[in-house]
Amino acid sequence: MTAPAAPPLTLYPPIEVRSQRAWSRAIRLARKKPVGAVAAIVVLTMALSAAAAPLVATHDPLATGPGQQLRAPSAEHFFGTDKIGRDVFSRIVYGARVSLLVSVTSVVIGVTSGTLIGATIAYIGGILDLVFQRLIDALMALPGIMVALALVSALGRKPEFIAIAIAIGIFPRVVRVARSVTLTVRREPYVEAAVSIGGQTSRVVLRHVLPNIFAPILIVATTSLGSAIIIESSLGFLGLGTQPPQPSWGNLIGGQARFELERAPWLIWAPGLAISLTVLSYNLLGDALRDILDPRLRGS
Amino acid sequence: MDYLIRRVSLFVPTMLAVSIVVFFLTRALPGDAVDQMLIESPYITEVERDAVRKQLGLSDPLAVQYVKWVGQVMQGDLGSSLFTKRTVREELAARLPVTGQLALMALALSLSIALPLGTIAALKRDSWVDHVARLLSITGVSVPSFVMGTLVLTYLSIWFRWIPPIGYTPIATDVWRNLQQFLLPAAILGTELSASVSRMTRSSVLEVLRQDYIRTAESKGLSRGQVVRRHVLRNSLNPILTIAGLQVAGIMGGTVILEVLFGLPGIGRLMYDGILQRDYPLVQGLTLLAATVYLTVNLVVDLAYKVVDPRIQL
Repeated sequence: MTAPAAPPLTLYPPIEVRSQRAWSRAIRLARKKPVGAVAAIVVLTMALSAAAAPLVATHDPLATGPGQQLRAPSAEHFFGTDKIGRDVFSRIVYGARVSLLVSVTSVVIGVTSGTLIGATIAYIGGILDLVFQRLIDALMALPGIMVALALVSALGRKPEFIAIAIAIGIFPRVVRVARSVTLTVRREPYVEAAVSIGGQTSRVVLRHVLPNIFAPILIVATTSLGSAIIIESSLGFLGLGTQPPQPSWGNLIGGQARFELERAPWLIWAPGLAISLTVLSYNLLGDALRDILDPRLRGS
Repeated sequence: MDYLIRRVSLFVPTMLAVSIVVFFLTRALPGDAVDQMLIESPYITEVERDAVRKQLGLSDPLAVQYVKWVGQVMQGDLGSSLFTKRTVREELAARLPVTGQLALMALALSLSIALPLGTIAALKRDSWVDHVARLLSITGVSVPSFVMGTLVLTYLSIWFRWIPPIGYTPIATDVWRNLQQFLLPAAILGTELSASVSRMTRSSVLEVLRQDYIRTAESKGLSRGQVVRRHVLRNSLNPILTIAGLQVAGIMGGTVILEVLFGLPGIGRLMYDGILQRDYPLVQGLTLLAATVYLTVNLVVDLAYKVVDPRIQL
């Protein structure tokens, strides 16, 4: 839900000035939150290199290299090669495509549905709110990885099913946040005003409530990305993620690689580093956003 | 008293919701246990499959199956595993000590790292201790336990030619062997859990430090140590308890990965095997157990507020 576009004839300065301001604002924020800025750059770099995987990867991720088995990291193979001579660096770059796409999709599904439901039940209240609250409590009580495992083993290992399975774990947390901030926003004078001039519930929720609960939702979404990546890669590790030989960050560590680790430890630290660095960046970014967007939580 | 009744009475509808979610999650999905059971014998006809389904009660409407299941669960009957034919209760009882030990060790470790670290970080706010603690805790939540576990196992084996003894030895049989099997997974799970506890401890202690009664305590001449011990720690316990309670779900999930990785035959491993075999009486029983443990612990935590903080009127 983006904020409504600015009407054409207003007191707003022309577009060029505004975009310049956006830039200087970004730079000012980056100075104030250097760690968050670095995290944002890491996240962007990862996403870009995943999107441009064919350009970034030095080898074909599926091509086996006869005579190239279990080579240590070198200028030719940045992160060495695996048991059948595939280039680990290229497999990580291509693996990022699957892992990032699945985790982003799951967060989009979980956050969108969670926000809509959380805002709606808080706004309407009554019996609907009570029933949904119990269902959300129930979902929270189930360990996310168990639910994801059960769903993926039943539905199949397609990326879209994996994303849905992960989204179910994200959903209840978002509902809780959306619900509690909506309860606060609901009592604000501008919402009361919108209701009193006869605004329909759906219109009030979409135009007034959702834009104003955006900040806390953005924070949950960012940190959810981190846990989505952890669950996605854990599924891969347990053999229920994306089907090999297609690489994903989790299945690079699980499966056959496990038996070669003593001879080729780069098979674990290279993908492990990719996963941990990404999750770390999401968490640091989430922290920085929390500090910037929610002054009440500053320093905690 | 009012609060007590309200809090306890919430437990019942939530458990009901849990049972609905668990039941439909495990059963209303395509591909049932019969297909999985007979996967070895593809030439069995659909008629014969239906006979097996009927025998297992799978051909009834879902709502009927649900009511039957809840009725059985209320009497303590969780059904039998489709594969081992043992009752789910027997399976659980056999595995519970393993997961129990792992969870308790992890929790104990987590609290003994997080409480001092979080308190010191808050008392010495913005010092290097604070920054290191923050970095440690954010790294702790960022490295997945399967990565940490695989790394530790690999490098122990490369550097020291040592791997933990295979299998499970009860602590009563051989303490040393048991500890060798449990220390690593418990340490990994414990450090992971300590991350959020130490952050919560830090912010809770910071919050308490701002209170008037702390200034009073200081101005009447108590030493820093006395203020911390008598006033700060006691008053910051509530949110810490809450977050520790909420971590029960994380512990349950964490045991799946760590038990698979370290070859411990606990509940998590049972869950994993059950899911792979679509043994849904088993999966239902285990998820129900996980949710019940979570809800019970959190109920106890909420009630324990009264003990920790007498100001709260139950």
